[in-house]
Amino acid sequence: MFKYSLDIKDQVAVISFDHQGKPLNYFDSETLSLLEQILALAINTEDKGIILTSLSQNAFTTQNYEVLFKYTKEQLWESSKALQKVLRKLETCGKPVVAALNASTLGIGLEFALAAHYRIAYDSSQLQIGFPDIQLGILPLAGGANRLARKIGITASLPYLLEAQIATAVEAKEVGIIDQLVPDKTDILAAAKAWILNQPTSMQPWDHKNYKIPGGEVLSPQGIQLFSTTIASLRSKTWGNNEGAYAMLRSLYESLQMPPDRAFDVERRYFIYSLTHPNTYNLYHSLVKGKEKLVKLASQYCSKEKGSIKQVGIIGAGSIGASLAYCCAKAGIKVLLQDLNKELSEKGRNYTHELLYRQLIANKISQEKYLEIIQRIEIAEGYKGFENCEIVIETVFEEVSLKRQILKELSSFCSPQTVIISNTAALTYLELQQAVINSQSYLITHFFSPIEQTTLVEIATNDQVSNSTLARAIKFCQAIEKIPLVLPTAIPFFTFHLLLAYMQEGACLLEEGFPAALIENAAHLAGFENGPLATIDKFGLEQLTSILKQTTLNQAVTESFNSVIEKMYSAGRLGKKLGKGFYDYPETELPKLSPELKKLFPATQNSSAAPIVKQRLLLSVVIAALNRWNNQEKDSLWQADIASILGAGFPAFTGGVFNFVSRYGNNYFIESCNNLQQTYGNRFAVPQLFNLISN
Amino acid sequence: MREAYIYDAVRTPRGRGKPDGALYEVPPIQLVVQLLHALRERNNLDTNLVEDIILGCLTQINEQASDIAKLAGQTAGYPVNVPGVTLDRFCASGLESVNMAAAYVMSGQIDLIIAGGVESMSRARLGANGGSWYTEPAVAYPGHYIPQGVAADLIATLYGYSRKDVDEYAVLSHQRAAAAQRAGKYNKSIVPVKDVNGFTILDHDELVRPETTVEGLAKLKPAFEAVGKAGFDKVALQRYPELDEIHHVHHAGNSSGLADGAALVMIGSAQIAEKTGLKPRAKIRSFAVVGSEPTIMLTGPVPSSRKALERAGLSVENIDLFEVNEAFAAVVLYYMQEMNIPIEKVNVNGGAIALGHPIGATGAMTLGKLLDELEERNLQLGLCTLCVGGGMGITTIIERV
Ligand SMILES: CC(C)(COP(=O)(O)OP(=O)(O)OC[C@H]1O[C@@H](n2cnc3c(N)ncnc32)[C@H](O)[C@@H]1OP(=O)(O)O)[C@@H](O)C(=O)NCCC(=O)NCCS
Repeated sequence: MFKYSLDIKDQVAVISFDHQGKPLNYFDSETLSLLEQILALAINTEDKGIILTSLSQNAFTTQNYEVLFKYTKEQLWESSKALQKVLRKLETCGKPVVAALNASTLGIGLEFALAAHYRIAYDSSQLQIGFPDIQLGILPLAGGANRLARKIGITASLPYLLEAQIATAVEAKEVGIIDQLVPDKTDILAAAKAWILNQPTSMQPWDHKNYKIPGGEVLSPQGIQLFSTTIASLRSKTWGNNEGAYAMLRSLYESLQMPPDRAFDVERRYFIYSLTHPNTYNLYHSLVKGKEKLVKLASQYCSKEKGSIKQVGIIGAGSIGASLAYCCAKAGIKVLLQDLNKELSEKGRNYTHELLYRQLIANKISQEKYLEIIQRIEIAEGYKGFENCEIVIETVFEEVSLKRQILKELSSFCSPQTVIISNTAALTYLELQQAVINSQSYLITHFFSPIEQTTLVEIATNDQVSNSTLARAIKFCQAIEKIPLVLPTAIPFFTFHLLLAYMQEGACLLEEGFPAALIENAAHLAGFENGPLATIDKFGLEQLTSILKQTTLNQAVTESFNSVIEKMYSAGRLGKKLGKGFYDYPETELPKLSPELKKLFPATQNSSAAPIVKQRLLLSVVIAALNRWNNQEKDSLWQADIASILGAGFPAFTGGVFNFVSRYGNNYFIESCNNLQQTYGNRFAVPQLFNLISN
Repeated sequence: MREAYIYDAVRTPRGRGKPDGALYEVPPIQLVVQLLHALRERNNLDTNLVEDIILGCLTQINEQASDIAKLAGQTAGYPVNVPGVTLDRFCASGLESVNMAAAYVMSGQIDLIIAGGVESMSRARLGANGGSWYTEPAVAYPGHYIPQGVAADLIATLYGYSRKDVDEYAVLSHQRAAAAQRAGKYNKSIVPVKDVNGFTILDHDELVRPETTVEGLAKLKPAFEAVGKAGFDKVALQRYPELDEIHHVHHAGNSSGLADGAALVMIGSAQIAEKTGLKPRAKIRSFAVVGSEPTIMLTGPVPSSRKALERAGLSVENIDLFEVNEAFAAVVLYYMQEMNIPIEKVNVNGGAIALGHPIGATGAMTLGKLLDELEERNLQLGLCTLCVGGGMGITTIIERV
């Protein structure tokens, strides 16, 4: 775990962290006492100074958080105190301590690095520095937030502490987290030694008598201004739904007013508070564990599949096609892009152009890389070249006849080995499958737009589809860094049912006289990323009505939803693509709810209705999930949870649709459904599957 | 219960509350000291009878800190047995001190007391005393704190007051204040501020701009748009989710101006009249202070007025004149709409939009202004109310005797 060695020539101690591929648990007394012993050795001998470094390639050192969820608050308090003492001892031992950062330094790793007196890293954009776990609501646990803010100033520290911003080594040097950069990894130890030999003793800036936080103390005029605006911007960005960041801000405000030792205690109080908050557990189990499990599951499908995907054909260069082309090109896959005419195809390729250009300007990629990626996308004429693709995906408009026609042409043109994929949210599998010649090499995906910003993709198969087809499709998803969720013949896709219920409820609310702003704001307050009306706009009415024409879905659609769609149609407000839907989409400004809505849907309800709107939106999605999750195994429910978060925008801090029910309790759920059913109809009836999750 | 009578009310003129204002050179305690002198002289007052001095003051730092009320009595040469206390109820402080004084008298614990307030916004900058209200995450985050200006814009948005509505009201305030100045209506209460030589530093309210027009105001930029866009608008929407945005209609011309000034009201029991021969000018019929929704913050005058009216057994129609503090134009428009009262009865001599709002002093100043006008018009009942930061409202009803 930790190694001590002595550089005899220079009398410098080197402590190497080694987690051997598994995260350590610094709250474990054995681990901690080993660390203590080694530190004591380094501190008590005649060494001139101490170098901290890592034997791991991928991370300086890491903490296993999963085990911590089993600790009681009291245990967390005691163990974190012990760890905090170790770090405090390190920085007050009187000898110069250098952190030689030869691997990404995140979370607990950065806490150790900040407890050193000096930090040296090598000049690489691969080396990442920051506190990513704040995204899950997990705060630094041994004084790391305090040390960062005291080192670089409160203002500069906030993006790292509240928003989990990650710095590259160069950026970290610029803001002052890193003190020195050396050109190469192999130069670090020598540089560290050199620094120690020039440094007879050492003390942290915050232990000096006249220390002041750079840029202003908490209660200085600058600090007051900073906290006041940060509180507002945090609420405005998170809609009050980020408990972790809120706890972090409280911790900073309270602890930074005190000397270090007392401050670190306060920081630990907030660490414990946020770690034991139910939201944190939910976030960890869906976004970390759930994702891990899903990735593993996917790998099992394609463990036998050899060979990589080199070339992909994409038909349809609209928003999904264009964004897919970008993801492929970025992942090193050649793309043949095709649409009705050259102009449309070019427009699709231009999407990649624009994204890359922005990265180029922001210095995120080099000129060479830019050219390399963009050249991977080729505009195809007809289906020429598609015979050489391992995978061909059609992403054309959601209309059965159009898709069938393209599939017919494609499957007669491509070789039988080519895997053909239709991307659709909800069209019927069989109807499409019948159009291809080779049904064993055809399947359906559901990518979410824009693909580069999402992580999930749903894949549907049936028993006609061969294993190798599925394996290759999954390989492809992995290549472009998407996590596939494989659903047997679950068409329309699970997440589409959730989205549909969500959009439908939004439309009903509007028709019933709830102001559009209230609906959208209540959705955000409930924790949804996009409001239901914005979601309808994103689909576009044309696409949506084309999908809803299918009989399977037709029955599910309420009168109110149809009436809203009709009114919007006649007002010519078809959605985002056309620049106006429920929102107006001006080119240079942020979208705004259209003032026309007030005439189309006169409002009769006010702000006191927000709680009921929130409840209706949340429960409509949960009920849709219960109705549509057709896997009766209890151990499959976590998949629905993660799909609801990643695919349908269900609030992540709830842990997903089913976890939401367990969290609030069965009685709450049944009671709420019954109440809503009485007032708003049978779509709120408690579904059958509830019995499965409720016991 | 005994009656509490108002025996006198005095105030300094209001100076512009910035370093170019006339009263910038005058330490705040001097404003109070000169008023204490004036009370003594105007009433030939035996200051031994004064049992306490209560002053409202918002920004209690530096020279406004350390219980300025006690120090003012002592510095004014009042006897050593006169104590003093300084309180802070934000914008209501000046009227709160009057109400507390009245309560002392009504309960029979005190016979003569001086109440009022002081604020030098040019010397003690608004906000300089800080506060967990807006800086401490554990308070401001769950509290949905937004600055007062954004709260005023929120009222305008919720109740549909356009930029023109609020600007027209502001123009009226200036016109009324200018007319009152020309007619010498403020002279009854104003005590000019003098220097050590006896030279007058300021003898009139210096913020009034008689030339104000709607067209002129239309040119001013919204004062609270930038801070709103920085995040506070969205905070407001989370409390009022039926809105899609906040319309920023308030600016320097339709908000109360920063000002310097002080005011005192002398309150006593009926026995004081017997003992000294002083003549009471009015009695305090009732008062009330209430909390209200803290984000919108400035709607409190409505519930506090209803409560005070009920306590006095009066209805809105009984009140002859209203003083509704013009913290922001929308506050007054909202009050008139909710209470259903005609503009002819409200702020007839202008208000803080034209005159300025020296926070801790305004309540006491306004009460004096109300009393002067009731006498001028020979009317009986007046109601004075202020909206208060943090979500409160305060009201005092007086009746001439
Ligand atoms: C609104 C506020 C921010 C304006 O502050 P400011 O910008 O410093 O105000 P100024 O007096 O400098 O006026 C700004 C401009 O408006 C102009 N202006 C003000 N009143 C005007 C009028 N009636 N007609 C025409 N112009 C006017 C000024 O001439 C000035 O113009 P300039 O910039 O060309 O010189 C400030 O007065 C304020 O915060 N008021 C509210 C205080 C408060 O919150 N009190 C507590 C209530 S609960």
